[in-house]
Amino acid sequence: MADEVKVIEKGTIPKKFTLINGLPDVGLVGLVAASHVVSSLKMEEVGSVESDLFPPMIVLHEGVPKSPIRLFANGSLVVIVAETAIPAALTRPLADSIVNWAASRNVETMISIGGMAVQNRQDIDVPKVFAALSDKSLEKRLGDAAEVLEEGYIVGAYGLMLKKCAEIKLPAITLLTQSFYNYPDPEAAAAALNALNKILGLKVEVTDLLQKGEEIRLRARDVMKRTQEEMARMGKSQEYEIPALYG
Amino acid sequence: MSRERRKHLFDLMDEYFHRVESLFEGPFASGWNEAAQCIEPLYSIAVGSSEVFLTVDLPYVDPQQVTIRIPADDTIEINADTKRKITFADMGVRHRGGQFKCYRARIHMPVPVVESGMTSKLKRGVLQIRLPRQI
Repeated sequence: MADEVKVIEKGTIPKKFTLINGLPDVGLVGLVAASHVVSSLKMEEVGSVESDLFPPMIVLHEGVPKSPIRLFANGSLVVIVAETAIPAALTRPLADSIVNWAASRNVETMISIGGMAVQNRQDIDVPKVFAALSDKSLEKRLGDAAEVLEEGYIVGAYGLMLKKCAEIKLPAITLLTQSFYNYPDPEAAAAALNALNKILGLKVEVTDLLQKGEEIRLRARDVMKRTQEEMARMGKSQEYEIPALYG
Repeated sequence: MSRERRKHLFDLMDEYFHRVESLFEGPFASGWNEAAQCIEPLYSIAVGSSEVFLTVDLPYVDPQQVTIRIPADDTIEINADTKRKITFADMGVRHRGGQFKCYRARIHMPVPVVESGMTSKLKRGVLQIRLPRQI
């Protein structure tokens, strides 16, 4: 099934790199954060993720047809951004395909950015960032950038990717930031980027992201709507349930 | 026919029309209503044991220009003007000429509610409404 989704390289992929995933999810935190990294670091498009199973669509940017899921690179950083909702049925092949490609390219660390819905999001000034790790040894790397998530469910591509990375010993961190569930949340994306800056020693400025907050929320409204439908199909609400077993 | 039974039938009809709407997605399904110059906002509803909790995403909204109406015990209407006109061009889209100056939503409540005791607040551009459930 993973073969049905393919990462197609079109440019130069660095020999050693950190892979950042920005897939549409809770509050579109990953999509907004990853898009901001791409524009801030003026990253170059180096590939795309393709599949005959994806909805028959392209996206036009500056008059040029593009794949909605693309790869960008700059220095030792590669970012995957999906600017359309991922159909729930394709979550597993997409996750497998990205991890397989990352492993084949000897990715040093994979960092996925997502949201974690909280009911009182309106009252939170600075959203807190949590991290799920593929291996306990990554705690040192995390430092004080995020709090380690010890118990809970992760539903969707990021959960599957994290488990697969753990199995093949590819270091992976999933950053989950407190956010609105079905409203685009640029403030949460900014908090996630501050954590990412600390982990990778980057200097991605988030002031601009915060200033353009309202514009981003409106622009991302339609993708959020589609993403919400897919989250419902994959049972995303189980993330707010308590695992029955512990220890 | 009892009130409960009628409610059930209306729910079924509502569900049916939503399903039909989704089958015939067209330019209006996106919620950008160019003719009315209004945007249908994103919203979410949670039903608690004693109240219904509704939130509505309203970026660019003028906090002084938000009105909430309860025309029936199972319906809530929200109208809100934006601080300025928003055009597709603002969002980089040049092939569509619409401009928008308000949000408008008519939301079906999953359970009957009462207007008295309703509270609302607008923070971070998100409108939060708490409505007591009808007993």
